[in-house]
Amino acid sequence: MPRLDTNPRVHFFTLFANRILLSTLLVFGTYNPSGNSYHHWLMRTETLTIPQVFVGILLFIGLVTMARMAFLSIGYFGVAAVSVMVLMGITFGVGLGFFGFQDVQITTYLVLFWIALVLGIGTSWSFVQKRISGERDVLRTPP
Amino acid sequence: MYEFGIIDCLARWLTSMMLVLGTYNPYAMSYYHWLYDFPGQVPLKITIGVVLLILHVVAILSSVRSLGLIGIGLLTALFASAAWVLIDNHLLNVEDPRVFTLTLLVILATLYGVGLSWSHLRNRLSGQVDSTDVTFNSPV
Repeated sequence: MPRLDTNPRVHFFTLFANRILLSTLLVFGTYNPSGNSYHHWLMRTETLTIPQVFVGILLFIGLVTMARMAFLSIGYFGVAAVSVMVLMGITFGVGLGFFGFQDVQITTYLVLFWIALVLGIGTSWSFVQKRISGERDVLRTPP
Repeated sequence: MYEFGIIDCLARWLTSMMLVLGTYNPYAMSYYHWLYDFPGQVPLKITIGVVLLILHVVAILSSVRSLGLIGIGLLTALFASAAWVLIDNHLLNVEDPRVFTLTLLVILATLYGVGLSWSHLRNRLSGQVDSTDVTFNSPV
């Protein structure tokens, strides 16, 4: 049995990559501008069919779960921090001369990936905190 | 380090299926049928009944604690719509009342199974730990 006082190694790359991949799948599966998404599937049919209801509830549960866990882990400050990191990444790119500010467009893809990044980093953060300071995020139930 | 995986989920789901369908199912032998169709063996019946009651209470309480009312509502909607997909494709004949009852029981058992697995899954996915505050709940 794993004990509470052990502090095993965490593979940070796989940790973040898996969770960001999962949140990207959920967000882009719900809506993306390419034309293949749940939103476009809804738009193609006139009435709501039963498989659409099923997949919709599935996506809703996934998104609500990820959003709640991410928000419980990082809170308002963490969401703001990740957003500032994205903005600073753009500013760094400009500062290092990769592109100019006039080339940067806030496209739908950028916003969607931004959301996915917040969800992915939020769900990964508890593991990082546990590894570096030993503090666990605990939910007190019943509420 | 041991991680909670698909085998553990399946074990919990199968155990809850056995618990729910063993208590009552519309087709074959169950505790309910044993109780009403076969006389005798009263002490054994009471003992098994208490054991089943304890198991149901454990499953219901841990499901309510880990999923919450919102989670249970969402999952019920999910399973109901899944059943609706099956009905719509003529894979499930709910005109037969026994099939209808069995569907409800399977949904209940799946809720138990997800409720028993969810705290582990949440811990594996996000590292957050579900806990129960037992400090002020003790009667003694």
